[in-house]
Amino acid sequence: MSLIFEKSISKHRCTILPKQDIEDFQVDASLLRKSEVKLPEIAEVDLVRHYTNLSKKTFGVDNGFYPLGSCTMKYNPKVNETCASFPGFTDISPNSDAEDVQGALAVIYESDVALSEITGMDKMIFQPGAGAHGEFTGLLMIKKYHHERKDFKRDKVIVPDSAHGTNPASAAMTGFKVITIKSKNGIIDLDALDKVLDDTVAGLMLTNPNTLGLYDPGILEITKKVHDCGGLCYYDGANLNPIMGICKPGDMGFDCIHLNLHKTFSTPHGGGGPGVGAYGCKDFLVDYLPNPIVVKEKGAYHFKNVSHSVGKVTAFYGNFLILVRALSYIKHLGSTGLKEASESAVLNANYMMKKLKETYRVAFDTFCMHEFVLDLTSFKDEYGVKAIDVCKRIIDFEMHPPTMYFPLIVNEALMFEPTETEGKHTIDWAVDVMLQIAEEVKKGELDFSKTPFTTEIRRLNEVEAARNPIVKYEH
Amino acid sequence: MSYVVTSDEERREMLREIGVSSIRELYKDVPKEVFLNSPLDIEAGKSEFEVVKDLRAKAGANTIFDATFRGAGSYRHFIPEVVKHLSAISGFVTSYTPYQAELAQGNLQSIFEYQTEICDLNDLDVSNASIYDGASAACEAMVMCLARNKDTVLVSKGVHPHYRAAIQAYAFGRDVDVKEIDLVDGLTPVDFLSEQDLSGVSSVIVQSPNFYGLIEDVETIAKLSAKKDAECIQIVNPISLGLLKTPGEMGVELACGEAQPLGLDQGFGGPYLGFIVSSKKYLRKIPGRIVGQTTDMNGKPSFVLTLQAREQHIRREKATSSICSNEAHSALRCAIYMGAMGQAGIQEVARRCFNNAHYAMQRIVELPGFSRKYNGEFFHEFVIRTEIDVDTINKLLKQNNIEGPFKLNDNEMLVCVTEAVSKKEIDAFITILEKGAK
Repeated sequence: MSLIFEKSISKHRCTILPKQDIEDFQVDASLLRKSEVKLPEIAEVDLVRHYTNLSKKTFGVDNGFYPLGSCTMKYNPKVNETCASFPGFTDISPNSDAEDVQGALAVIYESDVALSEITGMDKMIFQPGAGAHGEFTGLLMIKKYHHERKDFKRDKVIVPDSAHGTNPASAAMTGFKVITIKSKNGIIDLDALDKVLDDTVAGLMLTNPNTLGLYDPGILEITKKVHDCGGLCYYDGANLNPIMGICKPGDMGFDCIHLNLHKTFSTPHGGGGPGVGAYGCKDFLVDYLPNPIVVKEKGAYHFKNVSHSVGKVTAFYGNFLILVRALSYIKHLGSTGLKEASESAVLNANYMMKKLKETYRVAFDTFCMHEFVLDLTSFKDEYGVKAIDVCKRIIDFEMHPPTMYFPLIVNEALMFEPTETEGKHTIDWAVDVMLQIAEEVKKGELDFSKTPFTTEIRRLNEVEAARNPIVKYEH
Repeated sequence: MSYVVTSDEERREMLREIGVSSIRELYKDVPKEVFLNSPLDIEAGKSEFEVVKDLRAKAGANTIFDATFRGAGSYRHFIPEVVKHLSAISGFVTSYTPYQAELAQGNLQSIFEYQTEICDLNDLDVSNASIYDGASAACEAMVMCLARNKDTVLVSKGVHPHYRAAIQAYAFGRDVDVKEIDLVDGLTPVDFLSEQDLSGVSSVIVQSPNFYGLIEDVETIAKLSAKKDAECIQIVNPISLGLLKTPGEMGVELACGEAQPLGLDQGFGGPYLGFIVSSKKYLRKIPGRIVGQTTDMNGKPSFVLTLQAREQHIRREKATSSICSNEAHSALRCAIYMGAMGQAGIQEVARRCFNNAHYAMQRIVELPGFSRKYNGEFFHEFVIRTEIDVDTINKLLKQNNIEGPFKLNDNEMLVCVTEAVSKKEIDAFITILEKGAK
């Protein structure tokens, strides 16, 4: 489809601004832009058609099944969009006086209370832009916590080899050395953990259930061991979806946590954000939070600065309009609904795994939580068909492929997370698709290296894209 | 009320297929010490109707002012209706990061167009797909420039105080030393750079127009920094580039900023959109997603996430940043805005901001008891000294449903005037100031 720049026609434009009623003031010529402003010149109807046609080439949850593991692509309720579009939320400045934004502060405060209850934390804030930014915030606080205690030797953060890539990357951004420990049977190997625990450990980052969809039964022992050596425990909440109302990270021994509200709490992913990296901690870390926090005193909401704050991680209070959507979701589901959502997420994943496991090898064959991982090594070895080839074939059925080649500890991995908002009929259909593809692989009649067959664009040349990068249009 | 689809009968069938009698059995690995025996202490679920009512009441508890003279990092501008409608199309809203390019050509093309527009606006070569917001963009830009034995960063005090707080936080993470440069008459003193030993300095961060609205001599700062092998990072308001000299024209090779003025709701601070844009030399150092053009197996031009070797899911602790989810939908919205305003529109908006702000400034300083604090040329914000208390002024304005300027201290305020206020509203604002002074 042609680019908007190719549709630009001289002097075409939309009519938006009111008549100018103030005369031109002179600007010193040395301050003026001299280069041409090369933005498109396009009439409104052509602009509308351009973006409407682009939207048709974008596959979202509203288009079909999206079992992208660790991304929790659940249905995004429309009522959330309505609530986030109220002018009382969209048209207020973050620099307004607290008395003029009491409703907005109430949204932040009520979200804090609800999410603290769900996770077993004492305070939640919403300044980080997304999950990885929450990790960054948490690690900054852990660093500051140790430094304030004059404990400068703690320069290591432990992550398991099954961790999301953001964990080690965030640890590096906060100046820590990353110690990766090998998993055993898909979960933390306690002996391996023991070997790296000493008084130089600042903390452990863990997601539980982990990226294999496994709940670590040794969780209490793990967090205790880390605490015993003076480290703190950070919970990567990317995988909170199966445990709401079942158990709390705070009870598992975690000191701080981030949640991806764009996963568990149903806010849309927007093609790659904006999300909210809700960040929570226990009381003893509250004084280190980014400023300001919101408190309720004498029936009104106020901003308050904490004493040992790490500073700020974004300019204001984070992606507020996304938070409104999450609060709308929490209010609609309530205590029972949240638990029901988690249970159904687990039911759906186990059902799908069960129906697939006679045909595909499950990486760790035990009950899973919200997601499970298939290992397609045998397809590759016996038929020369790789995980990516299967994913591209899935596209032909108008289903979004699962996450591929992750976690790194499983070869030819396909990671499925069906979520609770898919019905049995949809999962049955997806299973049929997967079984049909397995048949096709075994028959060997299709050239899987050329999948998908039905899309307009097929198998992009990524090597060329990286070798000779074209990252903007040349006019 | 959980958007769960499955009926009780289907659920029983599914449990049978799995071979368990209850969902509880699937949670066998959760230790009994942590398994909750009572429900969460959260209100019972409300109907959709009640949720809307609840949140509408909260929205109603906020004041939407008829006119505003408050900016300081978040700005009210006209947002074309077409921007709101197009960005709300559900495929855009409910898709994930475009990992599977065959299913995301629309999303990828829109990001490629956004990158182009940000590059063109700044006269630079490489833009990423987005960063969380302006403050975090400035921080990531700072991190891009760090090098061995270059662990000091100079930050002008003309940079937004919230951005400076974020820079301090990121610097603490990276063990970087931040030195702040005091302003002279509201501006970053350029002779400071020529006099200093900058051998350990990796970057010099300035904002122009700066926090006080003043236009900095970025050209000289960039020249002096380059001479001493430090990168000048300009934080810039993209709307101002419809009128003012661009980073590229001033010799800046790394610019960043907050793109909220380009069609995003003020929304109590977010979601916003940080942009980072640079010359070609930073192509492989810039953090976050980047979309590139390529061809598919049939030779068709197409788009794909590229240069991923910099990113966390590949490089883990060696990545340039941990950013994963960014602000793609905000970038889409800004791109639609830039298309709707177009070449002429963006220049008109910038011009009107400049004109309206200068008209207001002239009128204010004519009033007894009001004067400008700094002398330099400004874009759409300026600092006014007042003999009456800023709180008193803002209270008077509020009674007339006008949001007053940003309070710097009891007797100084930062006035912002964009194209979204009319002459009539500016005149009303002046009249109230005049009354207050009496």
